[in-house]
Amino acid sequence: MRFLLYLGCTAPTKQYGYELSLRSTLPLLGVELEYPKDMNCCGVPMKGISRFYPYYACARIMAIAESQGLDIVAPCNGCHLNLTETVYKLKLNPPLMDAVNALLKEEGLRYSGKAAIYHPVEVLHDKVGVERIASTIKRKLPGIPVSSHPGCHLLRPTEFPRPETRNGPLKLDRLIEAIGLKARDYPEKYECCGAAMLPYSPEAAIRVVALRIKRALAVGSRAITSLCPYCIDMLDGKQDAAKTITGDQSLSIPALYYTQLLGLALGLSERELGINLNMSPVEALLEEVMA
Amino acid sequence: MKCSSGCTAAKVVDRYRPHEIVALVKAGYSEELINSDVIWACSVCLKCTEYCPQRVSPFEVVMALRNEAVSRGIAPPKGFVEMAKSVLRVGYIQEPMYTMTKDFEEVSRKELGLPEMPKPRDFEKFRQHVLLVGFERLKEIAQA
Repeated sequence: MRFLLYLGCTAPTKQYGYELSLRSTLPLLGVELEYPKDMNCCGVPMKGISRFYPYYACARIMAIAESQGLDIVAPCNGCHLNLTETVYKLKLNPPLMDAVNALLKEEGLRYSGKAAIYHPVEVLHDKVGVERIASTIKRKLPGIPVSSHPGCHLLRPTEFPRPETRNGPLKLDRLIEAIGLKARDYPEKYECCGAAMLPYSPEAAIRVVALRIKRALAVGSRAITSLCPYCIDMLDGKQDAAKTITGDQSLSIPALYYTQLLGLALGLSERELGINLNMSPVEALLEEVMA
Repeated sequence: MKCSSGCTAAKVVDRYRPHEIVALVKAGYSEELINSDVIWACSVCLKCTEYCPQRVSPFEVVMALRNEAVSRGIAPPKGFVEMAKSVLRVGYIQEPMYTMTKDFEEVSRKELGLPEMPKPRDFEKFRQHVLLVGFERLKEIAQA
């Protein structure tokens, strides 16, 4: 299995733990990642500036994948949504597709919609499979309750297919259980992390994080896990800010990428998984997991 | 109102209610909304789009209001301007940052053994296209 790795903006500019853990775990499960030489932003945070820009930006990304004959793995929920939406909308709107291709032609590119788009949750669950994960891991992690936070754009909108659905068990939960941990539901499971509110009001965005963490703690979760760089940037990185803004010092829970937990089960080191970059208090959990 | 009861932003920003925004647009108050920063509060969670029994997408209404504001030269919150400037400069909303390890060690992509981020090959052409598809006014806003 070979994919073009389209990382987007958030993972490769600050959420290095995601990139490191993707790059170190996936090859152990038979997934090869090709890193592109020509690439750009998908445009998801720019929809308010221009609703048209993401179509151009995403068609450009897919045209690059097509030129290399590869399908795409997009680890950011926002990128995955934007790429999928572009395929869907351009198919429905041939003049829009022609307009986009007229621009791409000047860059020696052409979009046809041939490349498929996968999120790591699909690569791991649908392509690799939970059985192969369970049989490849070197150590089964203890049955600690962990809450999954799939993130908005893995679930919504339902106008076109998304990797996860609310009407049934999450793939992410099955993946959590495949490495020995226990998936623990929490009331904020299908909610938003608030990341896209940061430019408008950091305080409002951080209040969103506080709500999530409070509820995860209330159901006895020992950690939160996600496969979205925006979600972990918020849930892992903004805990100190959440404590300051709400005055609630209990807002503290380990938050990790699923690929970091998977990597521990595969026998990889903290450094190889970038766990030393997580901001949340992961130490006690690590000790318990590695014991 | 299902859209507002589910809305992420409405839970933390008192004056943001998607159903009110849709009602204001229908009543002819788009002008006021375009000139208000409230349209920039949306968290893009898309719950309103899913929950509306009338199949209105308040999210799309808000994005259209934002686009209209920008096309008239009304500046969005600074964070959005900075991200857009970065797209015009490097092709991404931001550039790789130094990050801190648990032991207060500052590390970069290179120090973590990660390859350089690929940029658009023909950058000038890419930049021209970004300006063409809606960033032209933003450039003026950013320079003002």
